Amino acid sequence: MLHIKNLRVDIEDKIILNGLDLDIKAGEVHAIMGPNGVGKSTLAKVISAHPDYEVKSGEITYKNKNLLELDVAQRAMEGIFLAFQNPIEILGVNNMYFLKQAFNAKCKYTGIEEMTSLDFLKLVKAKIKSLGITADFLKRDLNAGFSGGEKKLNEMLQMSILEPKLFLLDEIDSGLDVDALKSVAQGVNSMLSKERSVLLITHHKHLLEYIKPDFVHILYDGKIIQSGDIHLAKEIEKNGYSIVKDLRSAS
Amino acid sequence: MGANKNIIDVLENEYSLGFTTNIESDTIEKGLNKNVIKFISAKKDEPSWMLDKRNKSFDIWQKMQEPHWSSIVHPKIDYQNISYFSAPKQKLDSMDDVEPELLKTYEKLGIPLEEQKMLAGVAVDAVFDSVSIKTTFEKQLGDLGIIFCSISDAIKNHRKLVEKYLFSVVPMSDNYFAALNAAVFTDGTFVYIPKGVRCPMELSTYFRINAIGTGQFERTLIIADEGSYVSYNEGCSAPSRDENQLHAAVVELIALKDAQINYSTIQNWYPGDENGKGGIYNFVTKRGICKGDNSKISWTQVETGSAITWKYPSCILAGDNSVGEFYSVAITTKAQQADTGSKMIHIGKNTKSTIISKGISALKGLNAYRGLVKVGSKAKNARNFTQCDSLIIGPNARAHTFPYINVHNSSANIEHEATTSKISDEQLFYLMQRGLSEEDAVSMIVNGFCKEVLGKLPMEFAVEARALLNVTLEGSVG
Amino acid sequence: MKLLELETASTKEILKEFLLPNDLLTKTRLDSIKKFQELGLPRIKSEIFSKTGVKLIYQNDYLKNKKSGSYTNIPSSDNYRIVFKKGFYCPLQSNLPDGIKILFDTEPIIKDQSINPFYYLTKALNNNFYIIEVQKDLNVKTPVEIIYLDELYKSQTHMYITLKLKKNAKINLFEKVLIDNSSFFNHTFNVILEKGSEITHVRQQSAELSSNVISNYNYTLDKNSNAKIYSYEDGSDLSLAIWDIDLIGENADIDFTVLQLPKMKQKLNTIVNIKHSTQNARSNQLIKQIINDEAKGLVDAKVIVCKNAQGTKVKQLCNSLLLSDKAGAQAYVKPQLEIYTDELEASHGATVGSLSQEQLYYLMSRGIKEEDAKVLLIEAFKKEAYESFPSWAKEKIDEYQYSKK
Repeated sequence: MLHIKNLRVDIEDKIILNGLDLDIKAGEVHAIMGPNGVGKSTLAKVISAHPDYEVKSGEITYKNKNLLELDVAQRAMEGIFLAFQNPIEILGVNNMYFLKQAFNAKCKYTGIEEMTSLDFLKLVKAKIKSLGITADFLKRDLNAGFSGGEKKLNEMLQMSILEPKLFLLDEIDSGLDVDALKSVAQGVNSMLSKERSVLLITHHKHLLEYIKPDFVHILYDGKIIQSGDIHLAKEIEKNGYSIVKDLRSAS
Repeated sequence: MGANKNIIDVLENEYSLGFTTNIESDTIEKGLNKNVIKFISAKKDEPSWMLDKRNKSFDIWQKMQEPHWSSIVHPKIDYQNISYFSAPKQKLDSMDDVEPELLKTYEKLGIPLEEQKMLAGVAVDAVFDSVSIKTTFEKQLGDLGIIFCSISDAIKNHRKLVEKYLFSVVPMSDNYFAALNAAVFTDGTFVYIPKGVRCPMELSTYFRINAIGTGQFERTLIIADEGSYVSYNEGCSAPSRDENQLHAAVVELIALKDAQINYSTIQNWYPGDENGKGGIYNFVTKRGICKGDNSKISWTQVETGSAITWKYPSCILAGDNSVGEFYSVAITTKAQQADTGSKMIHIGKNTKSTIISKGISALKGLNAYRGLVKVGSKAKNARNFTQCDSLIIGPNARAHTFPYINVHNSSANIEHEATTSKISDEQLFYLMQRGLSEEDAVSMIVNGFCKEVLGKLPMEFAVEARALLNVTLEGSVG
Repeated sequence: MKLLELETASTKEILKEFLLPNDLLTKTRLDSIKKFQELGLPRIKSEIFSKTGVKLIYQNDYLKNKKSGSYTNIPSSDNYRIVFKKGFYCPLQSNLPDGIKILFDTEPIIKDQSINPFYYLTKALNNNFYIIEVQKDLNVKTPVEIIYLDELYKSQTHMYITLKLKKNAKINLFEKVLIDNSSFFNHTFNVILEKGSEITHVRQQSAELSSNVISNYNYTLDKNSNAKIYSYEDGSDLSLAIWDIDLIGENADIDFTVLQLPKMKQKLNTIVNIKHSTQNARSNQLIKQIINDEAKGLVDAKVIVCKNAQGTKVKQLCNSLLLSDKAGAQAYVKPQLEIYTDELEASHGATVGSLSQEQLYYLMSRGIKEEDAKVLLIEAFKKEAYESFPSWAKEKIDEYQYSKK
């Protein structure tokens, strides 16, 4: 589904990613781990075309298309969904209205007939019920005044309505207590299928207990220096990222 | 930064109402003197007392100086190079007489004078260049005792009311443009709502400048008698021309005891091009007085047009417990300049006022909020809340805020808040990551920014205003 | 000489009246007189000075300027101090640390674009141009007091002082304007902050109620410099403090706090212009007025953010409390923003009001007498601004207020 080859990304002349390779097949769950500030979030943002990052070289293909030629919105239409670490607040934009606009844009792109407002409302109501969200969520402005947990739930709600193919989950566990984390993880798990893939970015192994990865990668010095399964995460939990340094000096 | 650059491309759209209409019109030669005033008065078949007032205003105007205190810059206006009267040649008595060309103009503007507005229950008065073309629903309203006609007709037929209230809120000597207007005003709307009557429909006027080299000087007078209610809307547009055209209107509102007037404006005069060439100079004086106790005046404006806008719809809160409101959205793009805001003058006891102003500046646009909240020494328990927010799009746009608070009574309670922000790249990225195009994302943020104000417009006009915001910002030519 | 007469008097007459020295700076003085006379005293149409009430002093007849011979004792203090009396530096009463020098300024800074006529008067009529230099990297924690005294009845004094903080210097400055004897005091105080320097500047304007004070401050902040300004104003019949603050270096940072406390028939005016002309500078203003009796308080605060000043942060807050039961107290508040860039955070707010009846009621329902409840609420209002004053200044100000009672 997603192939990244020899990717180099700069921000304001500073190299963030350098020589990164990654392959994600349909139905797979990948976790990227690494110490703070190694460019984990950069990777998610680059895949979704954040304007701050400049791809200097390398390739990203997605569903056999050259992703680098598509802009943010086009990538979103193609099914790439970034769940933000800190979803931004937009005052005055009603949450429900925003959902409908985004949904309509997607319908238009895929050539499906738009839903009537009433049907859409039914759909949203069903979704919020399954996520355990209260209905007043829809009346509020987009993320405005939401608590950390509410913001993350709102991301899950959008995800469940827009039904993307590739989930980029950027530290969705940050700032959440155990209960909130559980319901967010449940939201993600309920959407997993053979057609959908996940790229999970996290600092702690904690999240991986709730969303089980097929692969775990360690990102350091701009590239993936080690890949493995859940055991790798456990090792890091035990020994910390110091092993990373050992690996680096060994290589 | 990268994302914002594209917004600028989006903003450079064409003015969608910039067509001209081919009809023969009667336009007098350029220039202003007492003969011209006499000519206008004669054309309007006015009584002599009105001509006297015009002449007096002209004398006052000649002694005044053009004001230059605002943050606005414009080339000198040659008042002798403007034609002060232009009318379609044909004489119009009824709807059937309206030239099809003219009707088409209004349809293009989205203001069909016939079925649609009738269905919508809106009574329309349309002013084309200098003359009121026709007033719909005049008879239906007449049955309730409501007078809704052109100001020229009112001068002839409702002398008592006109003499009592015309110039009572905006005196001839008020300011340079008000004096000019008083001397040469050609048409406009007159509304009188009798005691205890709630006007059953939205009243509406559509202004359009068509003829070349003309100015438009309409005068509107609305009187809401005790316990009455009226909601009034005006819309404006003009064709695209290279020259600047002057629009110096005056609006006077009078609310007597327990009366309420809601006045909405959607101003979409031709804004000129991105180099500041052409466009309307919109120098307008709008003021209402809450004369009686418990009266209320509410101004709502959506300003997207004009090369220069200079207007401060104001409320004089003379009656005890009276309420004044001002809700404004002003967008300036290209090289547009807007210096707008409100004045709330608290005189009576327990008076309340609210000012909500949203300014959006894009490209080389300048948006200045200028406001005054004044509490007189006898205005016990006066309350004001002001909020003015600016949204800046692009590195060359400018936003200024000049509020003035002047309080002479210690029981007053005044609050002023203001913020200045831009559309952040992060917000755009977020919306686009969810699949919205850049245009839709910008329009969504701008609409959200203006939400409080748009919500104050009557339903049909809110739709129009939203569409207008999108046209102004999105480049979708209507 | 009356201010009004200065407008039309010949330069010769003026030089004679003020006994001005004939030296290298005579040309500067003459140019300044010319500039003053071109501008003229502010009349109604001059927007920034209208409503200040400054016109009222134009007709005051001030007696001939004389050099004072006597020295009054100033209460001793642990602080360093620089004393000026009648516009002259008094070395005997002053006490300076190593690294701070006071000199005659032979090249006073030029600021020809000013439209403030009183600034030009100080440049023309001062006895001496003084410059206070704080050497590079000096870090003096003990406050340095600047004291202006005047002890001649109905006199007028014009002063022009420049304070220069060299690279990375840090000082605490306590400026006291304690004019008395129905006199008129008009001074310019330029502060130049070189790269990395820091100043905490407390100003106490507690002049006698019969006197009039005009203060012209010109601040220039270079890269990474930092100024914290606190102005406490309760003195003089009419006062006009005009602050022009230019943030010319990146990351320059200013906190500006004013507590204005006019009572009786006082007219206190604060005019501030903060200009952000470079990137990433920050300014934060908090201005509080408590207006009593028939007093007037005016705040005209403007922030200009220039086109290339990306990353600017601006905050501006004005709160006014009107206390008079009679309808005499007046507040004029004008918080303004002029913005020419899109990369910034800017917000401003203003409130004007009286004590909350709800809060009064609540306190009284708990058994507090009305008078005490009012005092409590006034102190609470004052606190937000006064709390932030450095403690070394608060102690002295409180002492001073107490001694006056």
